[in-house]
Amino acid sequence: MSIEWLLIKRDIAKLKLQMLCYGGITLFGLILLGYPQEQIALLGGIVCVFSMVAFYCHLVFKNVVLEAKENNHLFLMTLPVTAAQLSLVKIISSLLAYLIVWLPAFASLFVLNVICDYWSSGTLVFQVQGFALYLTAFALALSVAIVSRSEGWTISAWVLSNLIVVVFLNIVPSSDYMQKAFSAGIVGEIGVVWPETANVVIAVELILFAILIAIAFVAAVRQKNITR
Amino acid sequence: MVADSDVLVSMRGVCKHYPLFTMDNFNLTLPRGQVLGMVGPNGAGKSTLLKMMMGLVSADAGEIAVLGYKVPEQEVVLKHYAAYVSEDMRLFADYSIRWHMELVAQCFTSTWDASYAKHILHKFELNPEQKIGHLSLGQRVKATLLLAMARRPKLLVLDEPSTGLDPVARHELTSELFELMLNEDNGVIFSSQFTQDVERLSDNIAFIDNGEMISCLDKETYLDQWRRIQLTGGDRAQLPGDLYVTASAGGRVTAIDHAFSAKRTAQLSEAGFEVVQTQPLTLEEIFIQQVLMRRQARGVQR
Repeated sequence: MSIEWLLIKRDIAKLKLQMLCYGGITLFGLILLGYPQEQIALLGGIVCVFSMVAFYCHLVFKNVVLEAKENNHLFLMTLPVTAAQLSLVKIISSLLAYLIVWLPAFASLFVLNVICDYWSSGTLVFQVQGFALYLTAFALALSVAIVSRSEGWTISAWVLSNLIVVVFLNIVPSSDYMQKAFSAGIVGEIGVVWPETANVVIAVELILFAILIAIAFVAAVRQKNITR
Repeated sequence: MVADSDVLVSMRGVCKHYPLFTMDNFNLTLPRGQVLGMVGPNGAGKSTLLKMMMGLVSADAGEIAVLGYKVPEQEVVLKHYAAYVSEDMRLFADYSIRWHMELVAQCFTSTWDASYAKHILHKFELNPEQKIGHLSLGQRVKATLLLAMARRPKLLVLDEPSTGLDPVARHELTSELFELMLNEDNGVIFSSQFTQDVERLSDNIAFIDNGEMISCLDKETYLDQWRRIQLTGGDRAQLPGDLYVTASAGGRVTAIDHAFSAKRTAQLSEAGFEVVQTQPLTLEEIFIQQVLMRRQARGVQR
């Protein structure tokens, strides 16, 4: 087994508690979301948003920033890896840890839309746009943490990413294309409505995600000194 | 296999610049089987130098080869044979010593010596199940050293490892280093603020100040050549220029000589002085004098 893979496994194991906690909270939120009462479903949505956002903040801080702050990097750098390899390990392990929670949650949305056939036809497309945005917000926090290794800049990135999520939740549901999708009918009757504009929004989110992750990778490869 | 080389460390024309620190054209050679102690004030560049040797900090210019491997190009291979411990290195507080041992053992499968690790654990009185966060400072340093030494490195680089340790822990640490150095192929480079440790362990001693090597000689040469001389009589103006006068009162002059020999006594007698007393200097005194003399020579007012 390569040293890099060993360190990735170590990171994932180190994040196990957070993955379980936030994964559990997300699952709980999804269950509430499927509850046939509007207030409880809304609460479920809030719990889901909280856990997906709080998880990447916690994950990035624990896996990247805290290790740099506590000088664990100096110890890790005595292992047979370069600074670039160690940074790549951090990116990959953070990505894997986030996706391990994100992917099942994302898949659950499709199941919920089948089960809750009384939901509006525009619900799924809205949820998918939201989940794509979590990836972008996570990538923003991660890339800033990898590039800066600074608590201050990482916290700024979190605040910015949270702001983007809040703006999304306020603007997108009231936009014309989503209003049309929401008012088209319910899933049980007309199925899922998927406006073209939503594809553009998702594409932009995923492109931004890819760019931010690429920036983190480039910064990692160029990393020569991560010790203080 | 370790690269074939009789030189453990070779640094040629190494330069490193930080906003308030400059190291220019630094040269250092350490032969196999030697112990080099580095002494220097805070901010002298010792840590930077040791980190550059291990590839943890990149030099702006110059050539570095450790155990025959070019740094930073062959940094990863080098790390299999050279271990580094620094006083500001922190292990993971939430994890046990055993967890760290397993991680290091998995990374260094060919060099990790499990029985030696067990021996050090016993000698340092460490409980492998204890979490790092629950250890005292001394125990944490010992745990870090254990992880480095159980790899049986050809070169051990220690950056102020005994800082913060009590005298007993420092003694245990230096004793263990002695044991490690019984293998004459191995080398150790360490920096320390405790000149007693440096004096006890080192074959060679390098004095560093302000990013420059003041001197690098074997321990006996320092202790033989440096003397505090008390003189009476004579004209102070006739004193040899390489003597550093530290006190002068009541016709008695105290001077530091960094090239003492029998010839010096004769030279002083010829100049009309009577040598009242000569005293050897401790390593700490030698270092302080070197720094003061150097700063005085450079016109730095202290």
